[in-house]
This record gives sequence, C-alpha cells and structure tokens, in this order.
Amino acid sequence: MALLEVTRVSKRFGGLVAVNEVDVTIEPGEIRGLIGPNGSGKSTLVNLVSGVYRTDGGEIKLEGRNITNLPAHTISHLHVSRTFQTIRLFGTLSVLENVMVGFYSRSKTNLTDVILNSPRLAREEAGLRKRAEELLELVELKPFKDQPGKSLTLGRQRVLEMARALATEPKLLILDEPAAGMNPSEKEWLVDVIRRINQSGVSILLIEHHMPVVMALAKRIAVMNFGLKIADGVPEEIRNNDAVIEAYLGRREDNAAIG
Amino acid sequence: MRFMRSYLWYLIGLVALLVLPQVVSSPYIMFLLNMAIIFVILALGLNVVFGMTGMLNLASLAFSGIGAYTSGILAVKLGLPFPLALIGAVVVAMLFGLMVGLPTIRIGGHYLAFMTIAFGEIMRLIFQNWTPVTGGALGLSGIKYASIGPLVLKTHWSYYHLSLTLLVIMVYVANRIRVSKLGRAFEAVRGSEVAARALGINTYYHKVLAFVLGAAFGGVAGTLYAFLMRYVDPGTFTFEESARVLTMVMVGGRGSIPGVIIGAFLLTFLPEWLRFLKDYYMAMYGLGILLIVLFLPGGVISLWDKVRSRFAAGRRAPAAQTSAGKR
Repeated sequence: MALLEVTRVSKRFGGLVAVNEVDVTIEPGEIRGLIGPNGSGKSTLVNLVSGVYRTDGGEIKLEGRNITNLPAHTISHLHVSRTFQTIRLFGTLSVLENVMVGFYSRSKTNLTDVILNSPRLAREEAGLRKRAEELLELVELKPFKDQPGKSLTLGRQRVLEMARALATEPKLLILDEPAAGMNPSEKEWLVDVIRRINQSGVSILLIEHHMPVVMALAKRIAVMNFGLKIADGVPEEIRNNDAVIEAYLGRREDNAAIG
Repeated sequence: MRFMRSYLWYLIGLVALLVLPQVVSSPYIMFLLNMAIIFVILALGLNVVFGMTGMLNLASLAFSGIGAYTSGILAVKLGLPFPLALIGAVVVAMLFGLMVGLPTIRIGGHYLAFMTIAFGEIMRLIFQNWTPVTGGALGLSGIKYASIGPLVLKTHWSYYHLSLTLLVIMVYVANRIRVSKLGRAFEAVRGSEVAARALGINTYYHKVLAFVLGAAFGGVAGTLYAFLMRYVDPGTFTFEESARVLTMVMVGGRGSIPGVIIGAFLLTFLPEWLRFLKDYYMAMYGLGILLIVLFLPGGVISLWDKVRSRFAAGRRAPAAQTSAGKR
C-alpha cells in the first residue's frame, strides 16, 4: 500500500485554480521529487497535504486512511511533518528548544507535572533533551544547540527546521524547497543530510527548484505547471519529456541566474 | 550551570526583598512595596499571555478586578478567610478567562486586543453599576484584615510578608511555565502559528490555556489588592492601568521573567522618584519610557545581556591582539 495517496485534489483561490485535480503517490521509504516553475502549485499542494489549507475536491489518504481536511496538528500526530519554504523557526528559543517543541504531542505529562516539576516530568525532559541532541547530531547542528535559532546561517536554519520536523517522528517528511538560498557547498551538505534522514527510515517528499539536488535524490519525480501535473516518472524520463522541457527546463538560464 | 546562576539571582533578589522592610520606616513606602509586588504578579500574568504567547491582552486590570471583587465579596458577605477567598478569586478569574478567551481568541491578531479593551470596559461598568453585589460607585468596603490562621496582618510590614510569599509562588509558577514544554509551546505559537500546528501543537487550545493562566495571575493580584486596601474601588480597574502593566512588561523585557519583575518595580517607584519634577513629572516619565523603548527594545534586562557580551568580548580581545602582533 502507498504511504501517501493524493487523488484528484484541487484548490482554488477565487478564480485561480492553484492545484487542479492532481494525483501523486508516495511509496514507503522513497524520496519523491516534486518540481515545477514558480507559481505552479507545488507549495499549495504541500499546504493541502499538511492541513494548512482545505481542499476544494479530491482525497488524500495516508496508509489507506482518509486524512483530507484534517486540522494541521492532527495530521502531524499521524506522523506527517514538514518544513517551510519561508523559514519559520521560533526566534526566541534556542536551537535545542526549537527541536524539543517537536516532541510536544508525544509528551505524556500534564499541567500539574509542569507546575510541580514532578520527577516524571524531569525524567521525560531529560529523555527528550537527549533525543533532541541525537537529532541535532544527525543533521550536524549539535555544536550550535544553545544558540538562538535565528543566529544560524540561512542554510543551517533550513536544516534545523528538518531536525525539528523529525522530532515529531514522521513517517513522511515534506521538504518545501530546502535548498533555496543555499550556496553550492551547503547544497552538497543538504543532499547528504536528506539522504541520511531517508536512510533512518523516513519517506520524503522533496519540493525543489534546484534540479541537481532533486536529480541526485529522487527516484521518481512529478512535475507541475499551472496547477496541473504534467509529467511523472524516473529522472531520465523527466529530463527528456517535451512538456517538462517547455515548461521548466526551457527556462534553465533564468533558474541558473537565480540559484 | 547556567540554570544555577539564574537561580542565584532570584535568591539574591529575594534576600534583598526580605531585608528591605527592616530599613524602611515609612508606611507609605511599605504600601508602595506591596503595590509593586501586586504589579509584578499582574505583569507576570501578562507576560504569559503577551510575552510568551504573543496575544495582546489590554484587560489585565479587569481580571485583577474580578479577583479583587470576588475575594472581597467572599470575605465580607461569607466571612471567608484570606486563603479561601484567594482560591475563590483565582477560580473565578480563570473562569472569566475561559469565557472571554474561548470566543475572542479565535478572532486573533489586533482584533483580540480590541476585544480585550471592550471586555475591560464592560467589567468596569459592571463593577460600578451592579450595586447590590459590588457596592456600586461607593465601592466594596468592610474587608477585615487578612489573617492566616491565628496571624492577623494589620500593618503594611506584616502584609508585605504575605505579598512576598505569594510573589515567590507566582514567580516559581511563571518560571515553571517558561522552562517547560508548555513555555516552549507558547513561544512556538508566538513564533509561528503555522509551524506550531505543523509540529502537532493545537494552537487554539494553547492560546486559550495561556489566557486562562494569565487570568489566574490577575486573580492573585486582585486578592492581594483587596486585602491590602481592605476596600475595592471600581475606579481602580481602568484601561490606563492595564496599559501601565503592558508598559512594565515592555520596559522590563518582554518574555523575560527577571525583566518583567524589574520593569514592574521600576514603574511603580519611578513616579515617586520623579515627584520633585512636579508639573513636568508626566513628561519626564513619558520621555524615560520612550527612550527605553527606542534604545533598549529588548527592555531593561537586555542591558544586562549587552554588558555581559561586552565583558566576554573584552576577555577575547587581548588574545586577538597577540595573534595580530605575531603577524
């Protein structure tokens, strides 16, 4: 059974059809690519899957269970987590605390434990702290754990968002343009980190603008343009698909200039 | 280590506050110290709602008014002693917090601030006009001296020890909230609601929870006020005073518990220190706050961080010089 099954999902903003009856499936354990020019509907699709927006039609299933239009926090509880195209770190918290926020829904202590600082809470906190440090180690951010999240470089902030998302123990991790604004060496590091996350057993939906990153990681790539899915297949097929070349790779020079 | 050091500062502050009444001889100054503590508790409550969670509540004084009237009525009409009146006031204030929070917090943003102003005005009018219960414009009088068991607290000095005990408890509670998963969740809501939701945090629930917890602080502050004055005046719980609590949080350092404590003490005593200015006092007071907001947007407490980082830089500087000299 597919991990995630998106069937004929649509989203309209006024007269604009941002996502138009799109189908996408993600198999357990895979890194799935989703590409397309700016404004093609990729991020909208992510917001539909993660519960930020409500759909205007279609169905989203997680391991056979219908999750269409569930609240975002419920979808997170069902082990789907995500990062954001525009970084949304918690500026007042340290790197470690940012990650620890992600453990919230797994916590078994209550308000009384918090106020009385019960031994149960102390044990839980110590365990979570250790787990958060492990996650930071996985993404190579442990040396920065006590700094404010906002003090990291842009590239590291993006990777910190990944570690934070991993704290919710996702089966599916959605990365919304993780390479945006990264320099070449950071991009190499990013590919490495994503691969490691995937090897730890997390399936990944990778939305990316930067072709080398997607081509290096994804075994199957879906392509969107003007809200429609225009192609879906292995990287080789995508590279040679006429519709894709016209919509996306045809503007390669522009993209190279951007990033 | 860092935890121990912050703990040490709280301890030093507590010792200072314990010694203070020994050297103060004026009842008026003792009264102001009691008022300062009441304002600290109010500001700590606003700090949970506004400082941590990012919701602008402009009705702090409405909640302390509910606390003051509830405990006052419980004491005068039912003859309950201070501890029971306190519990009653906290429970009622929290219920009001829930009642106001549930519908208004869904609206969010600036509208929430407007709704809290409206709520504050409604409560003020109720205090003033519901004469059979609140005593109306004449206020609620006849509150006996606070007593804990056989101990009757008749002077501002003895009452101060009660205020201080409650202050310690409320600082502890505020600190527990801040350093725990709850504080992280509140700060996450303040940072980005969309991201908080994506991490499994039910933001609506947590905003209401923060609001209710903030109201509890108001209940405690109101009770302390009612028993300090032994009279509740409806003219006390105004929007201007709520704005003053907000200023305390901003001037002290939004989100920082030591900052908020300093801010509340500072703004309680500043008017006294500026009294020699007579007619120009309000202008200087306003100017002072303006300067702090302009040059210390992180509040007075950020001054400490600046000093510390400059000290750290000073220690590093000689090392940098020697390496430059080698070259």
